[in-house]
This record gives sequence, structure tokens and C-alpha cells, in this order.
Amino acid sequence: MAQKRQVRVGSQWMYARDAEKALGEALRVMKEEEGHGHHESFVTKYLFSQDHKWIGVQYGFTALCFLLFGFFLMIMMRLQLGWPNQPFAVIKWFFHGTGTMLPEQYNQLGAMHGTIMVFLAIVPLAVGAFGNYVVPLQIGAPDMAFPKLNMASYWCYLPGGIIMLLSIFLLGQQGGAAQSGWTSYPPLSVIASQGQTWWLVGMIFLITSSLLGSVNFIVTIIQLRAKGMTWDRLPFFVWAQFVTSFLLLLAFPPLEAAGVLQLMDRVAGTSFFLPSGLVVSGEVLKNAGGGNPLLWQHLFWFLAHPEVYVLILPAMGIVAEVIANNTRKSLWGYRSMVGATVFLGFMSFVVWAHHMFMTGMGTVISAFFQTTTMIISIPSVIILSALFITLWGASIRFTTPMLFALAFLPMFGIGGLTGLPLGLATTDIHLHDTYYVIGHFHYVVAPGTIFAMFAGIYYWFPKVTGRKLNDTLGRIHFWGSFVCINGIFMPMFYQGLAGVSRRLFDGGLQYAHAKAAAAATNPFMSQAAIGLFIFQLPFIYNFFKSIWWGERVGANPWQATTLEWAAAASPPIGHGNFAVPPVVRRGPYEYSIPGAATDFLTQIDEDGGPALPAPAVAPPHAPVVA
Amino acid sequence: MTMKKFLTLLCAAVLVLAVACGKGKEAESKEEGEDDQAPQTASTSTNTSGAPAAAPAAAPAAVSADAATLAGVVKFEGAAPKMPVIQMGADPYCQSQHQTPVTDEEVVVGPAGELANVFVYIKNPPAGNYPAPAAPLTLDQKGCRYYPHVSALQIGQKLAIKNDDATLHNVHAMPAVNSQFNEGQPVQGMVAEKTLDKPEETPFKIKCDVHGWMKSYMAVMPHPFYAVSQANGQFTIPNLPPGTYTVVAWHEKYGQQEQSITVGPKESKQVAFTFKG
Repeated sequence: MAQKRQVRVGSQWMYARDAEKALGEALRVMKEEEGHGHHESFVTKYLFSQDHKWIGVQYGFTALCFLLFGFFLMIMMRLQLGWPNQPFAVIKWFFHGTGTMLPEQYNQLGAMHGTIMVFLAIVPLAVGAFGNYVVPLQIGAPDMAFPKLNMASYWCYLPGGIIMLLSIFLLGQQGGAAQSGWTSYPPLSVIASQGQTWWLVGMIFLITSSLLGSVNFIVTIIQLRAKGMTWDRLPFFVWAQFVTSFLLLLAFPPLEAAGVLQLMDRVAGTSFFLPSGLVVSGEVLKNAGGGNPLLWQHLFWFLAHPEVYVLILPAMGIVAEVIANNTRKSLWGYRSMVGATVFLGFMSFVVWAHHMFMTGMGTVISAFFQTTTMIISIPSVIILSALFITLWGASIRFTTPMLFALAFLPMFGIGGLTGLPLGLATTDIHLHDTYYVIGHFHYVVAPGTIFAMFAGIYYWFPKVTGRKLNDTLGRIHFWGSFVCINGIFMPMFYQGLAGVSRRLFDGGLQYAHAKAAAAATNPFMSQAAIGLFIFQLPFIYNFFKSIWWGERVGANPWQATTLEWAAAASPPIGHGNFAVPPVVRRGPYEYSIPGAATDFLTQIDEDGGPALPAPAVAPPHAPVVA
Repeated sequence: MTMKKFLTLLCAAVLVLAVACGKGKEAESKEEGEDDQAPQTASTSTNTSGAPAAAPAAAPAAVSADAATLAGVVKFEGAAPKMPVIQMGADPYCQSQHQTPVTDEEVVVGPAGELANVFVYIKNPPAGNYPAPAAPLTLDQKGCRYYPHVSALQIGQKLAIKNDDATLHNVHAMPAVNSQFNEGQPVQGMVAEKTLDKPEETPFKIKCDVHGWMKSYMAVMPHPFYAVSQANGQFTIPNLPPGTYTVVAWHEKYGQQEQSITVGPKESKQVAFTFKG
């Protein structure tokens, strides 16, 4: 009787006996191909892979390591801020000093924490990892449009990261990493110690990596969508990545140019950013002169403001996927959300100078950038409102990814709304360069974007590994992180309003007006930071344990509608992703359709119901049987 | 190979890398240890009158029985410029350390016209190998001022920079030949030890960027034949082998002067410099 049962091979159902024959034939063909030089070596398959999925995994793993390292730098900063000038063993170990942090060491940590978190952790995780892994699967593409370019993108990113890391270990009196903040404002950055040169070289690698990646994403999304995957059937995540890629493509080149110019100022004696008669420590600097430090600020923020949306748009994309799936509802206002995203992309290029109200640009320019800044908040509100309304009346599944996605909404809300006073020149005068700013952008990026990244990791982990992350550990990770992260960042608003400046190595104790506010809150914030670190341990354990011993799941454990779940195995097959090129028949979020057999219709389902039931256990390499 | 197998392998590789890095760190700490460790021995204390004698320690190997001593006095001619009172109000700690107003140390002239803080050295030293003194030269930051105001050390001699104040100082050394450094000292009692390894006979500036009035000058000498004039304008260069030398006197405001002198065996030679205002 056993031979009478049907199994699924590729897209076909067949009797077990026939399947066995087909499998045997497939194995023979595969062996034959291997014998004819189609076998991939370890190096080409895992190191210099051209498979978007493996490149995604490479990006993800590397970015998570950097995320942890950036977090570790933050812990050292918080130790110093919470208990200024106290010696700590970890600081002694890291800097080989007495254990008491020196101001210049704090500056190094500040600059490297910002750089690593933005350029080495979150962008590579959001775009390099999630974008690479999920976008081709969601649009039904066999791979990225330019696999070699994709590989080159990762192999520009990794050296860039290594250069940044090595700069920390530079020795000598001019040693140490860059100290001029992640913004690297000249003239300070041009006259800074040699770590800054390494920073610039590292940045040039990282920018190149992003440029290569963005071109690839744009072409892939335009050219390689599966049959039937029209623009209005694209999952919101793909739209978010699409707009993000344009931002990367158009915003990064100015910074690459600016980076090269600053490098020349440092090593070739040019003065692009150094004015004539610059006095440093009471001495007139012997430089060519004639440069303008403000030029750097314009070029930097012309990148860095769109960069904010590079950080936030993929996060919104992930949250939208997770919310649609766990509310079992179609996204409310899908088209408005897409429209808002595209508008956000355009507007992000005309708001950059709201970072520069204090430079004395003049009231006309200030008024222009205030206006655009207020306008850009509208599409963000549209997207966030649409996500909130999606929750309305839903029977929500409180899965771990959903918890993170739900937390994203108010956290990003706080981050966004606290940005409005900074976007108005009048209030910015008081708040500029205070801890209020730090609180604002960390709410956007840390409990905002990073929580969305965690939602994505918990959500797509089964797709990558075929196993699920443990739910209990996930909940401990979520609740602990949620409480602690607010403990760190919420008091920053109070500190900022009290006038505590950012980038002070002792948190402001040297300033009479800031002393009380800093002393009252900093120890608690540092304790919260240590708590946050402790609550990452369940995640790290869960992550590695689940890769090998996690609960096995089928191709579509979340009962999701999009192609990566509906048409591909978990993990998807090596090359080509899909056993049969999928044909898309409907929109991305058809949940709870009245009259349908199940509460969801995947994008490949026929009108009457599922074309094929999802396989219970995905074959690791499902052979194609014609 | 499945992805899982590879991830196992990847983790192993990361572990190996971590171990390798660990070794690198040890090596680093050995190198750095010399730089960062606070000197355990108490260095020469400086007097607070503003003009301690930075007399070089004797270099026994180079001393001959015929050695002469060069001594002298530096005078200032004309009306001594009135030095401005330093406004220390920006840092209440600094202000609290002084009961009476403190004046700038750019030109320190005694009652009979003696000029302090003049760096005197032999420009063409006798050939020989002069080992560096074992004791470090201490540059002290006390009451938000540097002690000594002008000093010199020999190549290879350690420089110990000490913060005796309960406030943040940063030591920003701006040599033209040696490597610049800029190091913060946030805690009272902190000592930073530095090595300057290239000769730099014209003193360079060391300053604190937190307290703009704090300035000190330092020379790096390849030999021990140098001295700094004290509050009474006097300086002494001992153990000088007989010969003809060019003696240079350098002042931070009035520039430098040279004199040629000849010293005989065991002679006690007097030389005088006069700077005009």
C-alpha cells in the first residue's frame, strides 16, 4: 500500500514508487554533472559564493557580529558614563591602560560605535542580508540579476569592515581608531590621528559595496520578477528595498567623493575642507587653505539623511510583512503605503540641511529645510498609521516576530515625533548636539530598526535553516530588551532638555548646568545597558542552538502568502530557488478571504483555492522532474 | 555540504581566529606596556617658584678628570614687560588652587633683571656616547600650571607627565620633529609616560587645550650638556670636556643667542647672556 501514497516532487504529485524512480534518475544526472566539472568547490560555494541566499547569509552573519561588537563598544562607553573615571577590567583589557577611560579613548568608542552600527551592522543587515536573501525569493527570481556583482559587493564590505576594526588596534602616539565622531566633521577630522585615514579608506570600501548592491537590487526588481508579479503585487518589503536601493545609489556617491577629498586633505596636503589661517591649539596651521569645512557637512548630510531612510525603510518593510502575516489581514492602504514610500524616497534628498541649522545658513535656507522636514514626516505617518490600522479588529497571533514588529510601531513613533522639534530651527538651537538628539535617533534606529531586524530574523530564520527559533527564549529576549532599551534611551530626552551635551567623556559632570541631570540619570541608564546586554544572551544561544537543533518546520510554517514561503522549500534549493518558476496570480496579502478554503491564499494559488498543498517537509534538494 | 555543516565549520573558523587574535593582543600588550604603565618610582620633585633647574643627571661614562664646568647668568635689559594675570574662572577648580592672582610665565624677570626660563645648551657637543639618565623627567600639572615651565630631556630618557589636579587636563605636545601627542588626564594622580626619540634642540610647545593659559616648552637633547636658567638667572652645565663650543641660549619670546667659548681642563668658565626687551 505504501507505494500508493502520493508525495510531492518539485511541483508535481506522484506515487511514491514513481517518485523513487525519478529521484534515482535525478541523482544519476546530478552525479554525472558533478563528474563533468559542475561541482562547486568549497571556495566558490561558501567563500566566494554567487548565490544570493548564501551571500545574504554571509552578510547577515558578518553584520550580526559587527552589531554585537558595536554593542560591546557601547557597553564600555556606558560604563564610563555611568561611573565616570572608575577603572574597569574590560576597559583595561581593551585599551591596555590603567582601566580608567581617557577622553580620547571615549571619542574613539563614540566614533566607532556610530560607524560600525550604521555602516557595518544595520545597513548590511537590512539591505545586504534581508534584501539579498528575501527579495529574489519574494519576486520569484532565480537569483540576483548580477551574481558576480553581488559577490563583489560582499567582498568590498568585508575588507571595509576589517580596515575599520584594525584601526582600533593602531599603536603609537598617533594610534587608535578615528576619534572625530561618525560624522567626521573637518577641520577636526583632517587634523586628527591616523585612525581617521583608516576610517576614510574603510568608508570608501563600504560605500563601493553599497553602490554595487544597490544597482543589483534595482535591476533585479525591475527585470527578474516572476510571471504575473506586477508592480501592485509586489510585497511591501520589496517596495521598501526598491526605494532603499535608489537612495543608496544616489546618496552614497557624494560621500564617496567627499571621503576621497578628505583623504587627500590628510595625506596629500590639499585643503578642500581647511580654511586659510586655521588656528589649531593656538598655532596657525600650515596648510594650503581656501577650503570650506561646511562643504563636508553638506556632502556628508546629503548622504546621511537619505541614509536614515536606508535604515528605516527595510525595517518598515519587514514589519509590514510580519504584521500582515500575524494579523491574518491584508495591509490596510497598501497602495498608500507604496506611494508614501516612493514620496519619502524623493523627499529624503531635500531635507539634509536640517542637521545644519546651527551653522548659520541664513533664515531663507533654514525656512526651506524646515518646511521640507515637516513635509517628510507625512509619508512616515501614513506608513505607520496604515500599519496601526491593519491591527484594528485583527485576531493577532502574538508570535515572537510579531512582538518585535508590534514594539517597532510605538518605538519608531517616539523616535519620529521627537524629531519634529529638531526639524524646527528655533527649538533646534536649544536641543542641537544634546542627548535629546541621541535619544531621538536611537529610538528610530535601536528599538525601531533593530527591533524590526529581530522581527525579520525570527520570521525568516525557518526559511534559511528549515528550523524555528525557540519561542520561549524569543519572548525572554523580547521583553527583556524592550524594557531595558527604553531604560537607556528614555532618560536621554530629559538629559537633553536639561542641556547635557553629547560626546562628553564624563557625561557632562564638568559642566555646572549639566552636572545634576547627568549624575541623576547616567548610572541607571548604564545599568539598563548592562541589562540589555544580558537579555541578548538568550538570543545568541537560541540562534546557534536552533541552527542545529531547532524545531524542524515545513516550507510555510507561518502560513504566509508571499512567494518565498509559498513556492520555495525551507531552505530553498541551491541554484534557481524554485523547482518550477512560480506564476503569480494574486496580490501579496490575501488573508481571510471570504469563501476561501483556507484563511490565506498564496500568490501562486489558483482562484478556487490552493493549487497544491504546501509540502510538509521540504526536501533539501528537490530534483526537478519534468 | 549542507548549510548547517558549513555553519559549524564557520564557527570553528571564528574560534580559531579568536584564538589567533588573542595571541596578537598579548604581543601588543607587551609593546604597549612600556608606554602606558605609570612609573613606579617617584621622579624629581619640582619647586613651585616657576624656575626649577632641569639639571641633567650626570653621565658617568662621559665624565673625564679634566672636565670643566660652564656656569653663567642670563640677564634682561630694559623694563620688564608686565605679564597679564591669568583668568582661571573658567574652571572653578583651578581658581580655588590659588589665593593670589597668577601671572603668565612668558617673561619671568627677577628684581635685578635676572631672566628665568632660558634654555642654554651646547650646539656642538664633544663626541661621545652619552647614556640617558635612568630617572624620568617629570612634567607636573599643578594648580593648572606646568612645572617646570621650560625643560629638556635626553633622548631615551623617559618623560613622566603627571596630573596633580582634580580636574581634566589634556597634554598636547606639538613637536616639529618628534611625534605629536595629545592625551587626556581626567583623574588626579594620573601619570602618562612618553618617550621622545629624535633630537629637537629648539624647544617645542606643550599645552593644555582645556586650560588655554597652560604652556610649557621642552627640548629633546642628544647629549647632557644643557641647563635652564633659574629664578636668579643662573644656570650650570657641568662635566664639559675641554674644548671650544658654541653655547646657545633660547627664550620663548626673545628668540635665541649664540656665543663661542673655550674651556680648559678643570676650568670653571663663566658666560653671560643678555636679552633685550
